[in-house]
Amino acid sequence: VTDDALRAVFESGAVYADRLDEPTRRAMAIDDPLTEPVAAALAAGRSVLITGNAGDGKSHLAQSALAALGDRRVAAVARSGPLPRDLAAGDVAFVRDVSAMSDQRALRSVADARGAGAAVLVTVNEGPLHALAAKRRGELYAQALRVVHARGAGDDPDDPDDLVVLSLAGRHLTHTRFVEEALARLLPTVRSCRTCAERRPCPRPIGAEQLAASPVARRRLGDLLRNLTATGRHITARELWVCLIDLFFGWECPGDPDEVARLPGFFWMRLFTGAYGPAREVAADFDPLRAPTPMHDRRLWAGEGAAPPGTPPASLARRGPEDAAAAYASAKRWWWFFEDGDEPDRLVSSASDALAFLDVLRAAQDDPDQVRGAVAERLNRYRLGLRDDDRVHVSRHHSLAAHRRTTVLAAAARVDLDALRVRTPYRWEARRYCDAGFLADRLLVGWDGVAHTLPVTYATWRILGGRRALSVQREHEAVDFALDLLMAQAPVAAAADAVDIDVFDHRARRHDHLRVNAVEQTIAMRP
Amino acid sequence: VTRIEPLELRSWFDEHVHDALGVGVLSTSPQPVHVVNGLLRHAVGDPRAAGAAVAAVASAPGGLAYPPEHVRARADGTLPGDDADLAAARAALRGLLAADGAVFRRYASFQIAHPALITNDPTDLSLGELAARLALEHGRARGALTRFAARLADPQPNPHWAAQAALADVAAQPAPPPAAPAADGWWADTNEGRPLARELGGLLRRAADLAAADTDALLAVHTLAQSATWAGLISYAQAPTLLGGGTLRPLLCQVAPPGALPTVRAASAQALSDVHAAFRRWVTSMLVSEVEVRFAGREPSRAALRSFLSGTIAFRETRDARNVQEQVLALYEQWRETTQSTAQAAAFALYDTLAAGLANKPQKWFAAVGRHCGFVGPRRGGGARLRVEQGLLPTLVLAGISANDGETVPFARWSRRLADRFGVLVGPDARTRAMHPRASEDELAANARALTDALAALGLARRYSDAVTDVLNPQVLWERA
Repeated sequence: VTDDALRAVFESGAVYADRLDEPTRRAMAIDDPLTEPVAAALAAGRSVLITGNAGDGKSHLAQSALAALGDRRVAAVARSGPLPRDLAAGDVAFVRDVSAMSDQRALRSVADARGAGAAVLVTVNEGPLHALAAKRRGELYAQALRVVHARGAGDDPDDPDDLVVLSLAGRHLTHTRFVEEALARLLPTVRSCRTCAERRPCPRPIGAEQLAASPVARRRLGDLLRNLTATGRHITARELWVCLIDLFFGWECPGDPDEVARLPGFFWMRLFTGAYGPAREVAADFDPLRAPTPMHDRRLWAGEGAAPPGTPPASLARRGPEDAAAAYASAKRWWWFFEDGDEPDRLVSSASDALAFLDVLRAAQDDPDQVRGAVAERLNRYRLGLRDDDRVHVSRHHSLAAHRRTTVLAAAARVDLDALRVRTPYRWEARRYCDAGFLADRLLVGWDGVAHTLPVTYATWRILGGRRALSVQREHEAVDFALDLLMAQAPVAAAADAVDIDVFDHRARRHDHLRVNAVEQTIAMRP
Repeated sequence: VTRIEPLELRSWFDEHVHDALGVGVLSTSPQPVHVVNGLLRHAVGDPRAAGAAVAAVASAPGGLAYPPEHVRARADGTLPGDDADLAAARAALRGLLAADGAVFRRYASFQIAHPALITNDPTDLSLGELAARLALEHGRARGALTRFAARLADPQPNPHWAAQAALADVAAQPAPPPAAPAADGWWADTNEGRPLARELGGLLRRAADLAAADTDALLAVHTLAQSATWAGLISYAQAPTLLGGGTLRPLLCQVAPPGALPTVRAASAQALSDVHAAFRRWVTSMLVSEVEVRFAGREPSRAALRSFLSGTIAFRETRDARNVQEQVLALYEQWRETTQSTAQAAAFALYDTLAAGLANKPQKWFAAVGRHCGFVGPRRGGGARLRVEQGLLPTLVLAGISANDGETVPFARWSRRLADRFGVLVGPDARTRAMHPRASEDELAANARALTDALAALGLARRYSDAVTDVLNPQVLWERA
């Protein structure tokens, strides 16, 4: 496949594995660590069910695994037409894209193949999987759904004996070599836009050449996309391709020969200003333009950098503030991508909690017990203004009004960390398929032996790290109410007589300590 | 001309509208804290004066209502003797006993965690009584409510119970018992209203069951309070339509942030306006019946009717009764020009006079009580519309649960039950498509997603990829291991 053919695919933006011809699909294929285990399972006669969101790469993975099977007989089940006949043990029935076929067909094809002793390879979105699991003869789907849901809820069930279940919804390709490999295929094909053609320098190839030459810039691009995982964003394989393609092929220069008018076409500008989803979300979490770096800012304003345009922003200011601002934005973002040293990376850490939350998620995935202290510390500080990471203070309030925030919270019980249970979704997959990018995007916090779970997402984590808002802020209300429900389930027993109550008034920032004896009916202040 | 007894609008309204609806709609004061107090007072009885607790935390303009020496005398050694310690203790106790600011010298509704603090406060304006009647007469919840009250008397592992137990007036006599329940003939006893009454009673029974089971007592009181308040709002929203022979009104609720989804916002605001319009039609139809009854079903003469109307006593006392009577007659003459029946014209004139006296009180009542329990937004300003705020979610989850449900219920089935049982809608549905103005399909879908997000964020639902959501059954989820 030539660069021109690949370029045509990229220019069209149509990166659907199902619709690409085989050579193009192979040229774009990125090695997937899941290919081998899927192929091995099929070769051993086990069935495999791959589920996930549209665009997660289910079809691509299935096709790669079948290609790796060698000369084994594979019978594809199409959307219509006769079902495969004469299947036997050792064969593989490929039930592709179940959501496109009738329930009856999806159920019968699996039942027939398994009845004949053949292995089955199924790709199905989770929505149809849910529907099929409820049908009669939908045992395989029901079995798979139970496993998928349990793993999503933080449990670690093993695969059933004769079935491998893979949910790509828990996979974050930004945490694999996917971005690097995709750029390796994409960057060599980038050419000038139609307006510039060969007549003048175009931001597309200039940016592509600079990125291809800079491992640091490629790493930072990958870091920004990776941080989205922490914010709860699951980027599918197709979205990643479209996002990267959009950086280099989504821009057409205006007819205006002015170099400032062409600045938005550089990838370092499009990543923060582009219309495409992940790019917008990257900018919402971090944009170097918002990060103050006084020393560098002065130099960049004076034009002491290699970033386009050639004219320094300070000089452009004489023409107008908008041109100067555009040139400065380009210079600052370019600097962030291409500057050697640690400072650009430190900017991300200080501007966004995403990296820190990613560390928490990784630690929790390795050993959930590691993060219990950090969780307890945030809960105690947010609710009661206490710095204590050794136990959880069971903070309560009893305001019944939905229209205003309560200001006084109190705790009469404390729970050891041993009782706090932290789990992460997709932990089983992360341990089984180490390099495949399975990573949690949230912590599931609860109490040992209690079913209720508080999902701690990045947004929740950030709120817990700040001061509890006392005005109407729905995000804080949601977190507080979720914590009310969590605290209500805490494994504490009622004291028969005296209890020590810590009361914290958030408005006055005041702690009071009461000793209350319900039997003797006395209330005293404690120091 | 035979003189027909004139209509006294205030007593007519109390007797017919209030009693038929089962709830007073003339004050914006009731909050869930009042309602759950009223519910428990009517359902399990034994309200107390709670004098020590009132002395400790009652508010008055400018701060606390009672001086330290009064508190010490009333609390009989329970509270610290030192002035500074006493002040600190009272400040802390106020947060534990009176967080919703509903404890005053004369009227006190506490954040109930102990049955000794159930009082006779009538601020709930019959909402608590309504909930009690629905729960007891239509929800078979007597056992659950009794068990709940008994459970509250046992030690609980929360700071509120200990503080309230310490301040309980165990030696004091119970306060006088509440007034007897209103007479029969309210909406829930009619054939048209009974199915809704059963659903609301069922919701309250499930909330009471939660409270009586091993679920945390504070959480249970919260859920019961919200459910009881919401039951009153649903009664007002649906009963007039049902009594008129109609089916449940579509109550489209905005779940997304208040500024989002403009077409859902508009449709939800209109749904609320339609609720009030249905209430007005219902009151008018009862006035028509009243006039017909008074004239024994015969078409009255003009003179008889003018004589009847001229005796009308206004809803609010006024120094200028003559002016009111002239207004009623003028309104009658205007309606007479466009209305075939003289009785109907007279009823319309009476309604207009009543409405002038009511001064939008039912609308203001619904908006205020709805805001207090998270069913109406925005929190401030105009443009009231139906909403679902965080605090209402456990109630809604219980409202969509059935007795035979297991640990989870698919979101689609649960939301369909909300619509079928109470008329509450959030997403695309044949009923939302039939509304005018009609919200866009995309925005309705986004609104439903906002609800699943909100439920998942609280741990009341599990979301899977491809938007599959299971609502978790609190009756199973909150059961301790």
